[in-house]
Amino acid sequence: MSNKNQNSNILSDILSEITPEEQERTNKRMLLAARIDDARRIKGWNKKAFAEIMGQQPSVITKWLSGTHNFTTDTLFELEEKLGINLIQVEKEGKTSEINLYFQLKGQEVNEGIHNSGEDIQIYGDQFFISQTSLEC
Amino acid sequence: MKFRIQKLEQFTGEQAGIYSIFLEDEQQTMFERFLKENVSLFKSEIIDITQRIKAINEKTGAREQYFKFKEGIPGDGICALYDLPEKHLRLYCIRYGSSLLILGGGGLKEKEIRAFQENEKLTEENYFLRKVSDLITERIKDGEIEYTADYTQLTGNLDFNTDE
Repeated sequence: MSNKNQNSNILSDILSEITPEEQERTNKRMLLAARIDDARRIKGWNKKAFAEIMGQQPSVITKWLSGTHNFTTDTLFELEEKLGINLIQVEKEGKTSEINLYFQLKGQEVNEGIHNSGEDIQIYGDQFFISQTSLEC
Repeated sequence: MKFRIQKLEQFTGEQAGIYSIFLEDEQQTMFERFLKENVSLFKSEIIDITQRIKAINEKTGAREQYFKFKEGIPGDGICALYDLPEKHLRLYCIRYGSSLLILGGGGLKEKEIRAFQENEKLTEENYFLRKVSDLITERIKDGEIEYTADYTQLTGNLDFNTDE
């Protein structure tokens, strides 16, 4: 039997139309569903029990676990509470500390009102502040 | 009918091997035929299905939760990639655990129809896949087809001729 597959271009064409961002979104959606299902299994809940705990119909749970569902944040928060897992990272990891250093500039000309907030340096007239943010893991 | 179980080389991930059924008469796989038949009318659904297969191949494996079962007889591995009720397309597959997936064909699922048996095209695609599953199972039992150590690939005699 011939190994030649002359029609394989359609699949290649479709794959080439998928942007990395689109694929990443699908990957995340499916990985999220996998994480929820793993947590459900660890809890020892079958799908029916999980549906009851979540106050949903089993068909809704099937949809959630299918990797196609676009969850609301409220549903994700509720899943976190019921399953005891983290699904959304809303707090900064580690402890944040800020050190403000104050310098008086003498004899140096500094443009008034320059504000480089993105670079952690703020300049006001003849004064500037350096903000240093460090993360402790 | 002559056909061959063929690895779809475009899916290069390692989480699950993705195969389809190459039909000698048509010189195309069932999955490619499914894509061609539906891409013009339902392009966004075709892209979504392809993205999910790519995610299965590269990231997640063919976890049971991504499929609908009760599409074949118990133990034959026949399933459909999960489709939302409001979507138009159904794609049948044969799933061998989470490591290997054979993509079959499918088609338009008419919304007023509850069972696939009421749709001639879907019935045809589904029953052909059941036949393929039976033939593969037979060869696995006979040792003519084997899995690789990681269960993501099939080796052995993957060519079939149902006319013999």
